[in-house]
Amino acid sequence: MHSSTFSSDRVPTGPWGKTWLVALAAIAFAVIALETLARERGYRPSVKDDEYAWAWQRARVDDAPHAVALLGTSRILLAFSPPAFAQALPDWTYVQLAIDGSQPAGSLIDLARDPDFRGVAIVDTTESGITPDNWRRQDAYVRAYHRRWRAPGAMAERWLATEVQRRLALLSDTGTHVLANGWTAPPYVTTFADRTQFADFSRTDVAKQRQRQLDRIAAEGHPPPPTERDAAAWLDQALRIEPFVAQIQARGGRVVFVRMPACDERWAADERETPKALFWDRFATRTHALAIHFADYSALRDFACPDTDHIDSKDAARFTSALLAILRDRGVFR
Amino acid sequence: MQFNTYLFACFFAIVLAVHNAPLPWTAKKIALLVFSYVFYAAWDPLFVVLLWGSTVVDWFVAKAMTRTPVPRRRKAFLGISLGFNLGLLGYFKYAGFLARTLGISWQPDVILPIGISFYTFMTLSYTIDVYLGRAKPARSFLDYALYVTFFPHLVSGPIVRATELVPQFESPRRANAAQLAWGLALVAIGLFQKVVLADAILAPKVDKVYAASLVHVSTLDAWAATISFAGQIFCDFAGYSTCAIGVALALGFALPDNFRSPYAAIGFSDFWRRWHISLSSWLRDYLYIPLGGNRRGPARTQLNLAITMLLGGLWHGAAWTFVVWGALHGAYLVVERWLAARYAPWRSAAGRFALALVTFALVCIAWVFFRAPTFELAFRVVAAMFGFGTGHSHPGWWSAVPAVAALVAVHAILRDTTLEAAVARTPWPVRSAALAAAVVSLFVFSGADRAFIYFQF
Repeated sequence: MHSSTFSSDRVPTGPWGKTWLVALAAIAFAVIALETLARERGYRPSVKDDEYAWAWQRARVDDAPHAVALLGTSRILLAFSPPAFAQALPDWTYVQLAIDGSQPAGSLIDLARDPDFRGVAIVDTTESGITPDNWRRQDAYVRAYHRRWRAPGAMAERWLATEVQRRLALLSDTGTHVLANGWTAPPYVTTFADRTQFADFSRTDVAKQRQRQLDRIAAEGHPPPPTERDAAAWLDQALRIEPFVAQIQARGGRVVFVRMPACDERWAADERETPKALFWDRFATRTHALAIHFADYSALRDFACPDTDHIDSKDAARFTSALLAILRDRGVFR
Repeated sequence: MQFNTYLFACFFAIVLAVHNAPLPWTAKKIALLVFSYVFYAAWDPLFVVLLWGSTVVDWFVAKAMTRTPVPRRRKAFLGISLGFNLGLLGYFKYAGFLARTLGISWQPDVILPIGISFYTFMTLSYTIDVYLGRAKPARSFLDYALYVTFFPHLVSGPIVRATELVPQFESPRRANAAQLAWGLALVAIGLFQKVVLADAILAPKVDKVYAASLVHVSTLDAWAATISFAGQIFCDFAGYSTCAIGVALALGFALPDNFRSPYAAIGFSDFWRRWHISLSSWLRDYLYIPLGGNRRGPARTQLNLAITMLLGGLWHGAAWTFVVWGALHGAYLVVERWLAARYAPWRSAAGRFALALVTFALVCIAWVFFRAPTFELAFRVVAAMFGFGTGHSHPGWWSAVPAVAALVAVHAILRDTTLEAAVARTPWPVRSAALAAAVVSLFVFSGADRAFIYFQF
């Protein structure tokens, strides 16, 4: 039973060969011109990060005893330098699994449950990052990795898109960014094909970024200082991560918890809400993982944070070298 | 696999190359069938089994129905087809909804197979048409399997009838140069609608109100977000349909129109002749008319309209908000029918214009229930639209409204014609410039990566 009209049957007449030829020439010219203009204005090729990009990286850590998995948040994303890593540990490979705006426990638990992971997990975390209420924050990413065979299209698309986006600045959602911010303010964070990032704070309004962090701190309010009881309750919760640490270390892997640098108002607020002596230091003595707090090491303390929460990626090489030197001295990279 | 991906660009290049290679027609059809399964499996290979099941069951049911002259047995075979297809749809799409509605703690742990609402309706239309003697069963299983699985329409329509597509597979087809060029132009136009208009320009403004679950929504913000959504849903879905029609045409096949300038509709019967045409005609032929259509008196006609639109709403999604969306459209149609018997204001130009505006406004109000994730937000937005808004307005959230106004103006211009006719009147340099602008804007606005809205149905 027919019920429809088929407009596409009626192809518009005209010189279609010439039409497409001229269109293709115009497309080529416009793309080259816009790409050149974008790069002149400071736009750089940047890869879109999503759960499938994470799944591609996650697959790299299996069966690689000399793999260093970086777990955590934007702090370690912006503070990690691949060249510094290559120089410090030429026989090791890094895998960037930190997720912006997240908490690391979900990835750590996933690695613990994976019998093929026998490498080093460097876990950038705050005090709240390892407690069970935050264990599911990375579920979408972990699920994408485990379902990757059932999403071959999404995995293949992520690989193809990464290969294209790493080469063309125009493909980094430039139009939307320009509509929102104008031509003169290119994105200050660049994401590379291996999910590592570089933040150039000189390309953004640092005062605005800082104010955003201060607003966030203000929104946290001024809760009363934690009591001994609060700290004990937190420690109970935090130590629930220990079985997963034990699982990794039992098969020859290593786990390192790292409290990344924070500065000024952010660090003051952190100290007010979860004083290091009451929280981190007690955890450090109880965990079977190595626990590194930036405040305990002069080599990790000496960093400025333009927005109070992240170190400038221009300092990432120095930070990475310092952190890896400490870990090497502590026998992590055996 | 979505049309707006690099993967599809590579896939389609390979399909075009194979389809235009010097191969026997049967080999080309087998290749198209395999490519169609690859297209579907790219999303989740396991659900290809469901597609096979739906294909095979309805193939044998249709064959069996034609072999037996006994009406009761024919009805039983139809029952098998209805039971299998609606059972699949019911389990995967509505079981969780039903359990939630009835307060049952058991929830099926299933993912909705992509496109299931579309291909089950296609196979159902095939068996129903064969049962009613409106169509003969396909002669070749390959042609029938390709009809169900043909990748351009597979996951989001248009919902094609077997009588429209199976005959196209019976003899060799290849696009000529003009069909290929126009097909690719349609793909460019469809992608422009989806990537640039729907995803980059409209969706972010819609999300300001609808994705944020705001406690306070001002009247102007509510209207701006809803009008933006009216533009987004059209550009998203019509963009997909345009791509599907273009992809098929580039291979030498014709798919039916799915949209015809719906926002220039004057009244709701007119709207449903222009919006998602393949679904509304399906509902008309396989639900409204079997219920009695307009043959059993005015009251029964109104009831049939209401039932059809309610179920049409439920077809879109397993949620009461979709039912309300369908119910609103049912109510619009019932009231329109009642008024039409008494008044005819659309005879004057001013009356037609006013009715078109009223139609668009009421369609927008119904869209609130289609878009809002909860009734709480939907009622808050509708209240705001009727002047009970709260909080400050955000002029920055209204910036997409002129784009929707331009879209409505284009619909008004194309109301009584087709895109094909308009393009035929356009000089070729202007066509070149428009195509180039559409494709370049795809490069510039390529970051949003949103799935097509109708994939979830």
